Amino acid sequence: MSPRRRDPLDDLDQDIRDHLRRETEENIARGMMPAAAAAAARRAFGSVALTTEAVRAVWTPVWIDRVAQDASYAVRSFVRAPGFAIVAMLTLALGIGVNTAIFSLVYGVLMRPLPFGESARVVRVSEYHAGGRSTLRDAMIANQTFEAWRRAPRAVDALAAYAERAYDVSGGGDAERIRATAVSPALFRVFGLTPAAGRFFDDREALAGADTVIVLAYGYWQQRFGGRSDAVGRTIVLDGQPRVIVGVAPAGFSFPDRDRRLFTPFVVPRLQTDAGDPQVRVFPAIARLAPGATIAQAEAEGTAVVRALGPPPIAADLLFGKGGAAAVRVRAVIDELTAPVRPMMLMLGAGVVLVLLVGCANVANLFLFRGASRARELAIRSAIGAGRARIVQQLLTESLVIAGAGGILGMLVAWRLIASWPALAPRSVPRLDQVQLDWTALAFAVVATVAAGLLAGVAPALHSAPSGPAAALREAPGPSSTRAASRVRQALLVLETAVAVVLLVSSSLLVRSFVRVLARNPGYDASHVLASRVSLQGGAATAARWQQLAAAILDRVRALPGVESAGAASMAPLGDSTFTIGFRLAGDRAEPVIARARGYVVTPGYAEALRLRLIQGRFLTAADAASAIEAMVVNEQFASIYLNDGKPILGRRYAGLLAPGVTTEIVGVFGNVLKNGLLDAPEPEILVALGNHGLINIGRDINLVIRTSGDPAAVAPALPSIVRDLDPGAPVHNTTVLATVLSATAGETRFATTLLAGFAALALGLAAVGLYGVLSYDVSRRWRELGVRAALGATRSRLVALVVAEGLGLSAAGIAAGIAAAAGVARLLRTLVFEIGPLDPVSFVAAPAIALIVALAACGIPAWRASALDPAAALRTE
Amino acid sequence: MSTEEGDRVELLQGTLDLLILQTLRQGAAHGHEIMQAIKRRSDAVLQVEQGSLYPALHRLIKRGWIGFDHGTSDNNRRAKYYRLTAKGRRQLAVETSKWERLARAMARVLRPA
Repeated sequence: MSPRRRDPLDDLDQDIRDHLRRETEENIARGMMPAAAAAAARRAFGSVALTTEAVRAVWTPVWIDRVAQDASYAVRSFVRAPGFAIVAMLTLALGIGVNTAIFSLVYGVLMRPLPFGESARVVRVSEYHAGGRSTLRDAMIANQTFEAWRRAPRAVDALAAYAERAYDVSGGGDAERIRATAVSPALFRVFGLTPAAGRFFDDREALAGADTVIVLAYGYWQQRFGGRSDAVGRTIVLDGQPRVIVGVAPAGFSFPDRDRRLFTPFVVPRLQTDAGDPQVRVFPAIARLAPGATIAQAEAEGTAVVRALGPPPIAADLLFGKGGAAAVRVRAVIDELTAPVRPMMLMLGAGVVLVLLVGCANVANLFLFRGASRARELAIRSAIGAGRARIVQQLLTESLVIAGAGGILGMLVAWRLIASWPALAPRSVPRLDQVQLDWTALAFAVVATVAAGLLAGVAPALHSAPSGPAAALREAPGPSSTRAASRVRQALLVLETAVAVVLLVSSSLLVRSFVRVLARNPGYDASHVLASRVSLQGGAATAARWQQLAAAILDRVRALPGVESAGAASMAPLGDSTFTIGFRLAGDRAEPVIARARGYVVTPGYAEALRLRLIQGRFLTAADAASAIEAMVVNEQFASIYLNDGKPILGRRYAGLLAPGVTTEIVGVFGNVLKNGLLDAPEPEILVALGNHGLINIGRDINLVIRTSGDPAAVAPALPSIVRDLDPGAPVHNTTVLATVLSATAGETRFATTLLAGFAALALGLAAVGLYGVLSYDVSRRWRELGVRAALGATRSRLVALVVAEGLGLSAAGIAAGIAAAAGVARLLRTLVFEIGPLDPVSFVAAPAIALIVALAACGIPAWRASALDPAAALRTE
Repeated sequence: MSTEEGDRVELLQGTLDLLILQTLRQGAAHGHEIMQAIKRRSDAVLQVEQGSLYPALHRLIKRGWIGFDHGTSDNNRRAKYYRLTAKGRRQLAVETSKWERLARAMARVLRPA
């Protein structure tokens, strides 16, 4: 015999056929006709189908049988009493659906692996001076460090720098302005990419003069070139400079964020020395950790490299802040990318789990009511031999069936919500495109469903299942057996109320913080302001041309109907470019102070159009542009950090402050401006006039700010034609209503606040329904007792008071527990709230008050029923 | 799912199981032979319901008391032969003594001396 395990069921049919044939043969041998013999054999055997079924049942595990039996019993009983099942199912569907939607948001944004390469090994490398106050907005590395490390990297391979760019594209289609990234050739290796067409950059193409090549992003290749392979080799013009397309990046690749249309080679600025000091340029850089290398090893290696360069040059101190020894920091890109939204995401995740918890508590209460009303049925089951474990199993199957139906329905909720995340969530949330209803989300939903089924089912099952047949029949369904269940119901209710209060307090903190954010003074009046940008092209981008074109545009804009004032600057609030300058501010101190500030070059009218707040002195005038002495206006932050020696600020003069041989005088102080939006912190800033000095990088963008008397958007259509008349090659772009952009900067806060407030409302609503349910049930359970009280002379108000007292007692316990828990939770929210203490008294008073009012409302109907009680009828009820 | 009904089924199953094991003690047999043997040896008193024979056989296979092989029957046809395992042989002894005790007890009750 073959040793392998054989399935005894394999030849069951054959075995039965053999049996029937032998029986038939015997019948024939006894003298029957063949047809009759076969019929007799079949008759004697009985139903072949039933036999086969019975044999298969032998091999079916008992539990499958039982679960199927319990599940079909559950479905039948739910169909008989659909009200209970529908409420329970909808509650869980909502809970599971919203949880799944939030899970996929959190998973997609925080956890889904980056689509390219071994994402955890892609790291950002940056430089810092220990203890130094760097005001660089992003983590960057200096050119010397980058070049020195790139010569002999061991812990990292493929070290790549990049810079965000915007280009005006012409040639081979319409002129347009696009977002792009200048990248080291190594960047494609960092992500392990293969070109979709052509090739990536050669290392030699990242040298000055040789960088006349581009790699298209896949989407842009499709959009502008229809995905034709002959696009490779063609020439297009970027900012007036012809460039050759050498390749196409793979589909889906964009760096460092969405919608980068093409890539140009990043040329590391030269290390040439300039009057003794090496020229320092900083830029962001990424790398891939070498196989087996750790982040700590990479940090040690980079730090060794930067320290081997000697003491940091002054220019580096300006950028990274004057502090201790230079060092290198290495961080996984994915962590860094998601760090800004991580607290918000985790908070939303925690909040939505609490909502599900409240939902489960409600459904558990429903099951308890149901268990009580089925006490006799369960007692009979117990009496005819069903063990306690068997009945618990049956009751749990019921709650899992409800949860399962809720889970399926919840998928619809999740699917709707997930589809609308991109529209609901602010665009500043990274990786929103990674959010989708996929297998991971479905797996989560299954886990959530089972967990919800068990959470909602375990306590009721244990409480409803009789401990023994005798006890069950004797007691059922008297008040004594329900006392324990009633305690569980009350405990669940207290828990629900507490959770709802925690959510209420948390969302109240966020709402109040959000109101504060919206009420912040950004330092300018954004209402009725239109902002727009005009970009000078290629060789035409000189300071003189800037000044001339800006003046001409402003002349015409000011003549437009509805325009009150207009100005232009090298950068403007909420624009995406920032010029920061560093200089030595020789004060009265023994040591020269190194100052850093955002440097704005502004035309007359700029301060007026934005309504910047003047604190002291004056703003710049047309005369300042021609003056021999450079006039400078500083903001409050600048004055408080650098000019805090108590002496008058106005009239201070500095020789050679911004350029050799030029004297600078402070003529005014203005209020702090939140350049990057409502969540920004004030930074030191200076304003200088456009003059002949050309001291501060003016860039190639003319940032227009136009104050109107009516709707600012009404002025927008006139701009392109004005600019086209003056300089046909300069595109007008980023024309926006400033107030809209400003309010969008609080978008993430608004999103998180809205969602959490929604969760809190949901939890409170569920808790109110739960309270209503418990009270209604108690009123009907105590109907007779209330009848007796009424008969003995209790007034209606006395009966109402009885019911309300019970409801408020439970609520008060829940609210008290909720306040205590919220005090702990609020501390975790510290990083998410703005200018509100975690123990904000308003939130801690308002939220419980709301909960109490809702609880009172939930008492209403049961109390009314009790008051309308007819003692005679009540006493007759059984 | 009443308990009384369950008990009755248990009893019948147990009896049939014992009869099958006893029959297979004589040697391997196919399903039809087992049925015939039981009928013959009980002088046709015990009429095995043919349909219930197969579930019983599979129950015994599942418990490891009998095994099965494929062989050829006397008239040279393929057939599935059931045979007693060592475990089944031990179980037969246990069941037989249990049955005899029950039978003696029943006899004492029904015909008090």
